[in-house]
Amino acid sequence: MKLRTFKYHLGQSMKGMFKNGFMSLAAIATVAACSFILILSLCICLNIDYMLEQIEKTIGITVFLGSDVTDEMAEEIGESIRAIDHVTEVVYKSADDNLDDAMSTWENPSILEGLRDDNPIPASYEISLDGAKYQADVVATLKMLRVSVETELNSTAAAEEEDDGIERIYLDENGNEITRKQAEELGIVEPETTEGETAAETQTAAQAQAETSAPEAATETVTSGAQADLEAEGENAEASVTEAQTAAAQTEAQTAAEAATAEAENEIIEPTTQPATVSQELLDTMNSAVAATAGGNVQIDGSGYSSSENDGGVAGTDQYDASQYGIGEYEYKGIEKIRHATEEASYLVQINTAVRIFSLIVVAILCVISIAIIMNTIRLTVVIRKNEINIMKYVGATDWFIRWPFVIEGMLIGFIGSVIPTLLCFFGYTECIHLIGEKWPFIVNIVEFKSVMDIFIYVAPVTIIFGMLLGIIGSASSMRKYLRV
Amino acid sequence: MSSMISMQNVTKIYENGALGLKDFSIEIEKGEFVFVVGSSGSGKSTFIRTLLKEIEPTTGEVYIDSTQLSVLKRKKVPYLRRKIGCVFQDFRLLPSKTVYDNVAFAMQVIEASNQSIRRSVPQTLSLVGLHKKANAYPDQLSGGEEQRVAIARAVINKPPILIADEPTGNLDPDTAWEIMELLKEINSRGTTVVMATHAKDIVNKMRKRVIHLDNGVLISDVEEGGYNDEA
Repeated sequence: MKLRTFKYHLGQSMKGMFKNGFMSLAAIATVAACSFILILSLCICLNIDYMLEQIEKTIGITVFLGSDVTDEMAEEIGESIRAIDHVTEVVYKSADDNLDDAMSTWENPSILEGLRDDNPIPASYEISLDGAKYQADVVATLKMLRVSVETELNSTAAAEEEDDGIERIYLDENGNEITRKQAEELGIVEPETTEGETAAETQTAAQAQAETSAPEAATETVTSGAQADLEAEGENAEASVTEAQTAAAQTEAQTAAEAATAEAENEIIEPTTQPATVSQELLDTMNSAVAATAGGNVQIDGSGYSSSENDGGVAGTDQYDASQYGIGEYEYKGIEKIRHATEEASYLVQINTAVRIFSLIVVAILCVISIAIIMNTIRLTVVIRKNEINIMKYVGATDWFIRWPFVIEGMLIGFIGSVIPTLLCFFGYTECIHLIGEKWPFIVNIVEFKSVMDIFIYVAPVTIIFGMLLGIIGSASSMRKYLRV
Repeated sequence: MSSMISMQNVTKIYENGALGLKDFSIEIEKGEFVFVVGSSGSGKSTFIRTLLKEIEPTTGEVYIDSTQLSVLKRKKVPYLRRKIGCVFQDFRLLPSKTVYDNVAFAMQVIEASNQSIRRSVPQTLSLVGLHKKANAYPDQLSGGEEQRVAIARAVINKPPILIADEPTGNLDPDTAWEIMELLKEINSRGTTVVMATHAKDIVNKMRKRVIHLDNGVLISDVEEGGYNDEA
């Protein structure tokens, strides 16, 4: 189109607008009303979207590492987590960090201070995703990761079985101090019977070996050291013998039961890893390690007890977590468990989609209404200029030459009609949010509203384009009939 | 060289069954002055509207300046119309525009430059004798003056054909003669003029080619004929 033609059209459309001033005003008001509702729904939708996004970010995945995972392995696991798709952030939290976190939620944090040296909370990785809808995928990938980590761990465990075993025992010893003392006392009073009974009960080759080759020196030192205790406690000690025995029996029953459950659980979740053998192997290696380091029969018993206690502890955490969050739990070595909220995430995604669909429908209905009204308005101005159009046709004007002034008029109407509410809402938005904050401060505490700039960088162009399109479609479609001359 | 206007066996039957033209054939050469006569409903309007491709003939072919109208695309129709100036009984001026603007309008529509508009409009207005009324509005003019403006608008783009549909229908005899003189002047400059009319005295006095239609059928086609001449 030549520039002078454009000028001509612009002039014509301006004239047309002023000539039919009242109709143009009506059309502008219609577009303004529709744009206003569009802006409102856009603001609401964008804010809901934004808030959901914020909530989504808090629904991350936490991967707890096994207590037997070395620093290098933790590093390695972290690296492989970072490599997973949709993972935006991976934060390592050491056991101490997690304890600090736990303490901060307690009313009297000093209660937990005692756990500092023997921290029952494992180290963890906190994983953030770029969308809640990817939770399930990432968890699946993490499960795959778990398989490789576990096999890796097995090999490491086999290579460094001694350290591993001892470390575990120490950890557990402290947790079960009283029981151990009792057991020691039991060992002092009647070492041989206890030994025999324990050996029969644990029924491992290592223990049998330990029974025969148990260094007397060790027993002697213990005996001499505890001689005073024996005299002082006397009958109490005998009573504790039976107590210890029943305790031991109970422990073993518990261990067996737990092993069985663990086996069943693990088989359901991860049939390929054969955790039963893994835990059995671990137990074996621990026992043999204990025997090799001459920790004594009692220690073997203790290790058996404490390891079971440890398992129980993990199971406890599982139950605790499961009951509190109602979320999937996976128990294994290496990565001990993954805490996630796939269901919650899927709810969020569903809400988000629903909101989007709803607003889309609202806007679509609005569009149809506005187009109808604008079509009517502009059709009137077209009818008024029917003669002009007719003459133009006879003189040889092309269809587009005839259309342009009307299209520009529609565009101007749409532009003015959408700019007015955009400006109003632009200045009203901040005020509105301020007011919400004043009236219902709790809302602002929970969620954060999008800033006026963030929102209007989308809303303003969308609305103005929407308004102009409305005008164009309205005028162009009302023209058609009169162009057929 | 082929004819300016050529119709070959054109038949037009309207959708409501009315007959417009029946097996109508005619050749009009460049620079001719042709009267098309006949009573109302004889097919004059159908003839003119077919030339403008306002309506399509049911059968037959129409050629304007060697352009076959039946194969002409809709988008190209405006360019056909630029070859044909139109004058109507009811003038069809834009009441909101001045005489000057009404004439200039025809040039703006074909996207002529402002310079050529400024040059051509006064020229054409003096041709029709209205250069002094350039700034008047149509309702300030007499019927004859209005028709002159319409003629000026029709010829300003120098079309090879001028079609006048009863241009004197609303005018008194003296004014009608002034208009006829103007059309003769335009014809003498090389424009082919086709004029549909009821005015017997004008046709008889002008002694031009007369095409007589009745009920869509060509009754007579006489050089230098009168209104009631038979073939």
